[in-house]
Amino acid sequence: MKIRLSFYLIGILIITSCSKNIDQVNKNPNNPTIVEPDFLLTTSILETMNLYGGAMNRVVFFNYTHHFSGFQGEFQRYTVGINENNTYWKNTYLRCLQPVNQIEKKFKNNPNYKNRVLIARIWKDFIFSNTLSIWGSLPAKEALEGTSSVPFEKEEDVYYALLDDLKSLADSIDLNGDKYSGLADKIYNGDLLKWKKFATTLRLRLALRISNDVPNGNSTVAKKVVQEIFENPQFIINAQAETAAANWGSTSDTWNPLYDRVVYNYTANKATIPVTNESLIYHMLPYNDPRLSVYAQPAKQGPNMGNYFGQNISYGGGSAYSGGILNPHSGLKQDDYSYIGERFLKIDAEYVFLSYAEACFLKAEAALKGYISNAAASQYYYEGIDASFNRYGLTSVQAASYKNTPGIKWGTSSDSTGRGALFQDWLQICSSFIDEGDFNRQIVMQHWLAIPGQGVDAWALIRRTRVLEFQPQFATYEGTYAYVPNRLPYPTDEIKSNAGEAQKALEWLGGPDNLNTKLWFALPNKKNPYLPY
Amino acid sequence: MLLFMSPLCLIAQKTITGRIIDENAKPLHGASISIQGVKSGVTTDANGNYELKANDLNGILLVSFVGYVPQKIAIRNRSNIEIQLQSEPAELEQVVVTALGIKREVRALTYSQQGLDVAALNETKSTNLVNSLSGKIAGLQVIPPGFNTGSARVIIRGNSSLTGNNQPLFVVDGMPIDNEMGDGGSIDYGNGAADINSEDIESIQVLKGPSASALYGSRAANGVILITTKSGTSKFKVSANSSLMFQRLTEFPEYQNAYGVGTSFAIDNTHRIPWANVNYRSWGSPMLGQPYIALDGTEKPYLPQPNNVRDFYNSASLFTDAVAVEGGNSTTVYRLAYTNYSGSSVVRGFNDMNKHTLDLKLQTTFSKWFKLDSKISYIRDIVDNRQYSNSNGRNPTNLYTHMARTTDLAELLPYKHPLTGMEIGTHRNFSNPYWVINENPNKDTKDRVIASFNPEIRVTPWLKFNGRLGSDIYWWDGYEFNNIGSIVASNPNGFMRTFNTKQQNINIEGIFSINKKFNDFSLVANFGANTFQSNYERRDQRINSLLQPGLINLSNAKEYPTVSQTIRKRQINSVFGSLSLGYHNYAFVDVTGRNDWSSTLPKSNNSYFYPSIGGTVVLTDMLNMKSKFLSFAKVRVSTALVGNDTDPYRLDQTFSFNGFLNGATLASLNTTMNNPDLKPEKTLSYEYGADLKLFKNKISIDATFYSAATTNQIITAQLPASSGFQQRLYNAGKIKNWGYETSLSGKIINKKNFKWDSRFNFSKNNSLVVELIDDIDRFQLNNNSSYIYVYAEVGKPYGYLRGLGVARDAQGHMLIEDGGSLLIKDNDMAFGTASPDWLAGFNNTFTIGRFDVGFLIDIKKGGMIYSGSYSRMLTNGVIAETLYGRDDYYKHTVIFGENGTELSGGAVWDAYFTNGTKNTKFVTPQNYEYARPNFAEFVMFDASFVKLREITVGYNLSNKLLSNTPIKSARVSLAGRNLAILYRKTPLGIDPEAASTSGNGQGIENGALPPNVIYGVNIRLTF
Repeated sequence: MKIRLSFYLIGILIITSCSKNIDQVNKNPNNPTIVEPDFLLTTSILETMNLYGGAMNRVVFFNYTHHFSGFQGEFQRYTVGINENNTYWKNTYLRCLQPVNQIEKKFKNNPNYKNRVLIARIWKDFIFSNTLSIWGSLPAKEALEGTSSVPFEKEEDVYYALLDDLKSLADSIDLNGDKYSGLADKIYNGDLLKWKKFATTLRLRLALRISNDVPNGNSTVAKKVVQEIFENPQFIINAQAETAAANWGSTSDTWNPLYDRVVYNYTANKATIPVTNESLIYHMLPYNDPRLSVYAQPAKQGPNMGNYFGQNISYGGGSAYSGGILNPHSGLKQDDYSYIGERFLKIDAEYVFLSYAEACFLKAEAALKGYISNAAASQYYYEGIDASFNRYGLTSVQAASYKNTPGIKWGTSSDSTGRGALFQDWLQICSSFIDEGDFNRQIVMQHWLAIPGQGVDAWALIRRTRVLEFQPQFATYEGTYAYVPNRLPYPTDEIKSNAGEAQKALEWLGGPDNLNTKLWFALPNKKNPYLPY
Repeated sequence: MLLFMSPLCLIAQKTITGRIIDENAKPLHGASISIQGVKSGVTTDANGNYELKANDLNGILLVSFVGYVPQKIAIRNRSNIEIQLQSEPAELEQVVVTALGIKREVRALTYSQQGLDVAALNETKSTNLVNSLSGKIAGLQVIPPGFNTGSARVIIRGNSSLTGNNQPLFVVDGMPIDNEMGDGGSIDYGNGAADINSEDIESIQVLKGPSASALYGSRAANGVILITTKSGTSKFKVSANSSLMFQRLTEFPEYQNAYGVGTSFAIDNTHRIPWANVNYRSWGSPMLGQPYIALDGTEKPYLPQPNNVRDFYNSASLFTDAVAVEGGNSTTVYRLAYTNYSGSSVVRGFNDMNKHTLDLKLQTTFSKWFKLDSKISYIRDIVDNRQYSNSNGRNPTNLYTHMARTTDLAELLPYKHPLTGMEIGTHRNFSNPYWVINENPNKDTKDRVIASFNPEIRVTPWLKFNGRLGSDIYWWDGYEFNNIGSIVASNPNGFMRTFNTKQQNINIEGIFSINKKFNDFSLVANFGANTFQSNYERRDQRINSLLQPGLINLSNAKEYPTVSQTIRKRQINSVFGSLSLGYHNYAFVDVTGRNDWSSTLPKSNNSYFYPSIGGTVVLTDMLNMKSKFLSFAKVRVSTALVGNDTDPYRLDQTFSFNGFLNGATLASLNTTMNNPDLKPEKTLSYEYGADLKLFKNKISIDATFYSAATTNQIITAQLPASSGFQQRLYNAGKIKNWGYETSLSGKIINKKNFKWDSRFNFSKNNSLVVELIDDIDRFQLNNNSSYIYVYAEVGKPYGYLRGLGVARDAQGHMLIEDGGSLLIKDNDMAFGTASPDWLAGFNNTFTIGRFDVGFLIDIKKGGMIYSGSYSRMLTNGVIAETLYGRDDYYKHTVIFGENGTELSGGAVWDAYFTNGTKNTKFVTPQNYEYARPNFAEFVMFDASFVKLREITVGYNLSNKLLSNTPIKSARVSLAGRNLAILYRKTPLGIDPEAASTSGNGQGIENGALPPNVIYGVNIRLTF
């Protein structure tokens, strides 16, 4: 009896422990091991919008592109925000690149997913092209594999690789093949031809980005690529409907980050609400640019109530160089400035990745540089202005009148008679004045004016052209002033965790790992002639 | 004989005679012998003989002699009884509960194991059982929780796992108890072991090293805290205990009371009468009573509010009422106990806890060979409004690092606008604490049943079978609600979440035990098998936006709720055995082995074997070397290999769904790269020790040296973000821990009316991270912003702190950049480890007649702490330290009107330029204090302390006083915890024990409560 009972109890033990195969217990009941590529593409698109149109836009790019003002903080004052920098880099690889990388990894051997894998790779290239313009040399080919050491590649080499890759990707798309569902493809609704055009136009953007002469780019390669593209110009984005853009959602987890900051959390952020930049105003107001009413709202209070009045990125600093000019920014609060236009603050606002207008200005530039001769630069230039006006819901009559304004009209000079200050910042050391025949400046200014909110693109444009005039940052922590930063330093987390490889990238920089070391594609900073250095 | 004697029972007086001898059959002279219930007794003569008169031969004889175990012997109609007394076991010969509930003689143990006095536990009440262990066990370190309802961390002999769990296993009556930490999010839900009711604890044994815990296998790699709950006795007894404790803060930071809200020496320069809410830091003008508009919108004089923080806190009350009934008969003994604890917080409205514990224990003897011990505990724990922790904007302790020196608490009320319902009385970064407390309620209720059924079958006199069927089951539901209308925090539309959690842990075990003696040898052997299964499920529901203010209901959703479900299953099957061979009761050899099969590891690696071997020799017995000085000496040595598995689902890479973007599904890959080839971790340990007893057992010394190395660790290592993952699971790395523990205890004075018992514990643990993964020299365990990082770093002790410091020149001077405004940064300055150099506890008990007094001094030497609170108080200019240079600067700029280069007063960095000249440039005190907290260096402190941890003063009422009452015994005691910090190096108001987490990354304080004391009175009665 006793023994029987003991064995009975042991029996229970054996039965309970063997009732399930022990390795079946560890099958994850919560998460799938594979998901539809549709889900991953949508995720990458949203995360990319959140990255370039979210905090990084507001904190870093607003004050670097002079479209808007990000208000004070480390990056805003042209120094490094270590945490934010780590986050931007991390989000680039983990949130934006990894989902599309997974599409490639999981489906590349399945011919039924051919186009979807190609589009995932185009999107990956797009993200890399932005990352490259922010930090410079980066891990690309061997990235995203979960290795503890990830090789960096030279900035220059990555550009060449991207230019090659985008060509082969665009060429490989089978216009009758598989595609993403319209619901998932928030950019092109599954349209394969548009993706082909996107890849081609992105290639054009990159070609022009590196079109400065050696050592600030490689005009030979740029020219070759542009000419190659123009062998089939029908594959360049050529209509408003081909603009690559997507809209945020209307729920708290997917809504526009700028809406969250400026509208939803207005009360909490009242003292640091981002507003319109002074530079944007002096580039638009003197030319009666009707887009200003889209980009900005009239000041709601304060000395400039009812007018368009932009914030100075130095928050009224720089008085030491004012020569007695009364500082109009002194003592102003955020509410005394022009708020950013409602279009950009909408809950489900759009974020533009690459626009029809930009495609036009890229062509105009290519034509001006003599890479192509299909049509005159002026034609593309005007087409770009029309495209931009159209994008913002303005009429062709308004566009026609604007195109006829002195300084805007191809080859003409601005008319600042009796109203010179309108063209200038408050210190009167920068100007939006265009000289007769300064076609390059006309194109670059229109390009810059067409892409507010696309901070990552506008910043690259500014650095590769250096023709627009912006005030330096006078409110630096060092107590000196600084010109528009050239890059972001490498994130400390990456340097620590990928030490061996990051070290190589640091050596390639040719300067210290800070905001001021110039990237390969960019032109050196221009000294402001009114300032001592 | 018995038959012959029985007629004599009728005769009035009987005589009992006999002899009392010792274990060697030598007669004992002077032993007392009496009959239970009869006052008079007799003593034995020189030959050990006695003669005793009795009314009948049915009573019980009480026999005692100094130095021998007293005996009770039923007379059972015998008139001649020879009694053999066993000499009183030295303390070491006590029997203790060891791994798997196996009872062993202490003298046979080959490893270190330490128990603690549980009686004191219930007087110097702590709100978390784990806290009560502090200072009482050599080698054990407790990191107390920030709040009464929070999670406490305990580690034994250092951290053996680089990134895994380092806390010991809690076992209650054979059932391993869930002790998951609850501080993963912004609310700390407390650790599982805090549910154990100290009123029901009979004994606590701490199995320190792998040798002691090897039989538990992978779950006990970090040691075991073995708890046995109280059983009743067959005598009916009612006991009641009531404890009324109070808690209050004992110290506050040293605030400045000269400058109020504002910036650059101005309150606000845009309004004619300046407004308080334009700025929020205390860098304004001198507080001279000038008019300004206070936070509530009224015009008030601008004056210091020296007690604004102090007045916010209240005294908390912690009440425990317990009643227990026990009794039974010869076959069944029961104990039924109910305890109610209700506690509040020093922040009124927070952490209101109400805990009910019902504990039933039954011991049933069905027959000579079959016994069943059953136990069931039901715990209902309800907590209202748990306090947000760390730098969360809803943590009032954190808010008070921001509150301006001019802010009067009265300005903050009302906290809600009567018409709009919005929060009022805020600055930037400073939420109204009353809004925070009242409009963001949370509540959770946990029902937990811990049951065990332990049958025992005695198959033969030397072979028995013990079964253990245990379960630990809980249901835990709760919500968190943030009302609409918050101004500073980031949810102006409010949010709500609810969760429903259930967990069932089942442990089934069967052990055959053999206990046999052959001539000079004794054999104890155990063989058994075990299965442990854990099923966990949690469902979360969340709404990110509310429709109707104040309605705490999930239907109050302005957008679709999001839901998630998490299931976790885990199983470990084991077989194990142990063999202990004793020779002459002075030499023992122990061998154990256990094989585990864990569900969490891949099939090919899921079976693993852990052996241990140990030996001990009682030298005094073996070599016959007992003397007046040396009463007992024993040496022991053991080695063990134990291991650790991992969490479920860490083999395959998975995706998760993340909601929808305009109707399209979002999904992302898990950011931890899992590893399909994981192997179990391995800890190989050695332990050497000696136990000595001196001066007739008056003084005992236990000393242990140990060393342990853990290899093959299951590590989550950070990956560079460019790898596409945040971290990856590896089997790599090696960490070593070695050190020594000594415990000295003595009955220093042992007079009838005056006793002094003393115990001193000392332990020193050294740790060294030997290797991580190729090419990687550190893992981040924790961080606070980018200012301070806690690392596991190769070549350093575990928990190494690094962060931003100021670069130094060869002479150790701080370096400053040209211009004299900016210090030169050292981005990776080493600040040392958060782990202590050594720990000590000094416990004393004095018994003077019916009075007793006890106190415990708890000492920690070394270990660094970064204070996030102090950092914020510097930036905000609220503490006295920030007065540096302010008056001077004010005089030179505001009064003398100096500016720029001519400035000749203010703050000066005590630093040198790289060319060796000393900096003399004056800067604004505000910029000076803005800069300092960015350097972790200025807020790093040595976390050493000496604390008066516990005091008890008790009085046992005499039986005379109670003779006319139903009360059998009564005790009244006054008790206190954390009464004083006798030594420390942290600034006032910063507790050197404060921690931002109960996890591995120690060394950071952030928004913790200032030091606080608990004191009160206990009344304990038995009926």
